Amino acid sequence: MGKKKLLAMTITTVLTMTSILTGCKGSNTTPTNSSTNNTPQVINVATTQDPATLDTSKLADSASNTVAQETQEGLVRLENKKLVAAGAEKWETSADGLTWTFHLRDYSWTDGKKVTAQDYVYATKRLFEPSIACPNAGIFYVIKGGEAYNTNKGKAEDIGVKAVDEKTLQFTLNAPTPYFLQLMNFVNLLPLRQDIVEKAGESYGTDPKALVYSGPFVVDQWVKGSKVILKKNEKYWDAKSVKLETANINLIPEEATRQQMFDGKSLDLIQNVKQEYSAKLKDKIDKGEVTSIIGYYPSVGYIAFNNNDPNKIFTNAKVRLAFSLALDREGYVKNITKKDQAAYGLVPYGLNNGDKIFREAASEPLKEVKGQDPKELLKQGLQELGLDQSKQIEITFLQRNANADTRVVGEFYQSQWEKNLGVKVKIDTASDGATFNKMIMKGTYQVAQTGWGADYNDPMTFMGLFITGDGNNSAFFSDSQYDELVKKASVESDMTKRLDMFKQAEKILIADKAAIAPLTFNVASNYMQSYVKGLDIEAGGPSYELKRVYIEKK
Amino acid sequence: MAQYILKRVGYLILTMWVIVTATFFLMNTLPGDPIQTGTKLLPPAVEANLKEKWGLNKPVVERYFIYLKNVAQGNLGESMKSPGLTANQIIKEKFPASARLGLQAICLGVVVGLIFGIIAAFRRNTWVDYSVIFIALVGVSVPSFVLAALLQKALGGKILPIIGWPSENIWTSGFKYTILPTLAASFGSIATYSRFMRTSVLDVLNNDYIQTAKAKGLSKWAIIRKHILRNSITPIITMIAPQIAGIVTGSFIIERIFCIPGLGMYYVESINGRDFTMIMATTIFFSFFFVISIVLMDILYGVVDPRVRITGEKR
Repeated sequence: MGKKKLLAMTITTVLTMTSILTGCKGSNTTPTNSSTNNTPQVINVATTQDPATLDTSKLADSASNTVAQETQEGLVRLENKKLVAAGAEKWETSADGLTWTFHLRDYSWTDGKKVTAQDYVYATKRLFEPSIACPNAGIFYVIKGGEAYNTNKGKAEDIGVKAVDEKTLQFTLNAPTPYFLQLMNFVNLLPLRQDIVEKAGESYGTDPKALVYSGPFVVDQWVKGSKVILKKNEKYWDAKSVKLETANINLIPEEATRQQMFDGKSLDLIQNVKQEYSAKLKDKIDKGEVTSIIGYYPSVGYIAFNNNDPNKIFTNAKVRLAFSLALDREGYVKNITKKDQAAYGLVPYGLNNGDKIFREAASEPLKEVKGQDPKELLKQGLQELGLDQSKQIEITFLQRNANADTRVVGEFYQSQWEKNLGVKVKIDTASDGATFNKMIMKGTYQVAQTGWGADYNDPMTFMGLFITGDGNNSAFFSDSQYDELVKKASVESDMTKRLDMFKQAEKILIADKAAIAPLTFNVASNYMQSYVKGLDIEAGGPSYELKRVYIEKK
Repeated sequence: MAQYILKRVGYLILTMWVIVTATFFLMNTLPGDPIQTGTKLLPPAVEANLKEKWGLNKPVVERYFIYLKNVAQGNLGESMKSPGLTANQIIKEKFPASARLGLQAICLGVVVGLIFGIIAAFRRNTWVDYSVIFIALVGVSVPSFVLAALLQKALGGKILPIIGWPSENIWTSGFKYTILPTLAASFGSIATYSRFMRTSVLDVLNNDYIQTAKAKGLSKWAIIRKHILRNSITPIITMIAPQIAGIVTGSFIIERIFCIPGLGMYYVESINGRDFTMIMATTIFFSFFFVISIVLMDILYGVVDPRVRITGEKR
């Protein structure tokens, strides 16, 4: 089993950028009767994109993901940064870590039929079906036989999933996968009703009335290009916890419009706002009119050095480290991006290694080598390469496009490297995003800025990137020690040992070999009206979790 | 007449074929494809499955003929970004919103523009004239998104809804939702029409037959209605044709700002997302509308202005 396959990739970073953020939580107290009695339990939220489809086997975008997660109940649900039992009451793993058995709760679809293990089996097989072409299929290649079927080399019957009985579901894996439970929270593994899917045929997922639901809410209406209206699902097994009656998800692509509506209280939650607007809201937060949820996106922005640089310069670790250390990251986040947090490591805050937050247990490797003089490092590096010291070094920085933001960023790097290293920096611009990606992936660049968002809540989603030959290894980094550590960690079930392996590997990548220069960990700013209670934003869940939301007297 | 229309229909089909062919091949030369649109690379197997599903693994020329055959049968294909929905469904669903906004905006623009233009011409070089010219200048200079944002700020929220569009009885209900977008979309055309109408009316006013009409003792209103309006409106009709096609098929900016589920927004998004099916479908739809409206306008010329002989007789 190639590690590469584990590193599954979603069709856009948008999914992870907007849907997975780590949870700082809003208040989670239970409402008293008096507070909710007369207040309409309605929330107005915004989406920046129309959901693509409600077909959970095909979707990979954030807007659809949110709707699907609110309306269907999978095996587990994220609450308080932990995966809690949802559709499954309990589960166990075999001693070798290859077999996972889930015992389903007694719960039903909106048409009254019970949710059975067979519904999960059908969903699993369907997501691997080549003609369905699920963009996330690669994430689930850890399930035995999944890759073979997905690549037309195997049969659906051989996929490692089976219904032991009505209520018992069993997965067989290729290798022990410590983060397997995290995958169970994925939208593509939500249960599916074969009869309903087959009845709708090709159009399944386009008409909300033709679907059945198992989650806290149902899709009452979907006006494409305008809004999705969710209503409470009275048949939900945990309906007593659901106070909200209606959620209006309005499509509002313009940030300015969202801000104006939030100011006018016709919008109750505003997400991913720009720094300027955050500053504006400070007053309202102080007055208690607005509550903030500031969390991390588990995503990192970094500078990729082409480790196979045809001009040789960036083939040297010391040179790369010099370029990495020459950047003033604190100044960058303070003056240029005006949001986010300076990054000195690859794995962002908020990702779990087992039960614990990885970054809290592992310090960022670049911090430990910060003291070194970049100019001196560059000199040593050039010596090692046998390059002429007296000649002016010239490098080319490739930027994604030439819009105002990108230009400021590019010029920042340019001035930093020219000032701190005495090199000359030329800026090149790709004709568009697709060309940029192509140039990065083909290695026809020297230095470029790019990034990565988590596919699932585990450091592996980042560490696996830089394994030799990975399709998304933008730096063309190759180090046998690193490969070995990461491959070992991917099957290690002892979380303490695993933490240590990741720590060592990250140090090699960022400090010793300096394959890339991490820049920023993205910070997500979310604000809601203070009468909204119980809203939860979690890593890997929907963009917002509405299950326990209630509206206090306005 | 029948022969003329037949000829025009023939040209129409030819035009459409050229448009389809050009768009198809241009679109395929765009960097990027609908599958690798993200910053993350899909595993090769997943990419292969997606290509197979959308037929992108076939050579461009083969795909072109398959496409042509489908289009000839009226089948525009399935959207690549909204799986399960066909392009025909999407257009059917989204077009009414754009059309309603467009029609309202054009009616408002033409009516107000013509009235402004006529008044300005008659009150030439007075403050009325200058104000109309000023409005026209502002109207063509201020981009519609600025105006839209200003309208939202000034009137949105308390008096009128900031965003939204009626979702039921799309042609008749929810008039209040349509007010701001209509204003924003029509402002530019009010300006253009009034300016053109003013010039056109001034031209006509200098003609001898107006003097004759005056001398005959016709009332001012009769002169405007019978002589001025009819003679000066021809250039306006020329302008309306492409504008109807443009605005009825959707204004991207207005639709985006007011969150209107129309076709214009979808058109631009499908290009950004490299949704090949939808790029083709919306282009075909748009062009078809455009070409048809030009044919209609040509026929209308003859009705308005008998000097134009559509049958091709020499003047």
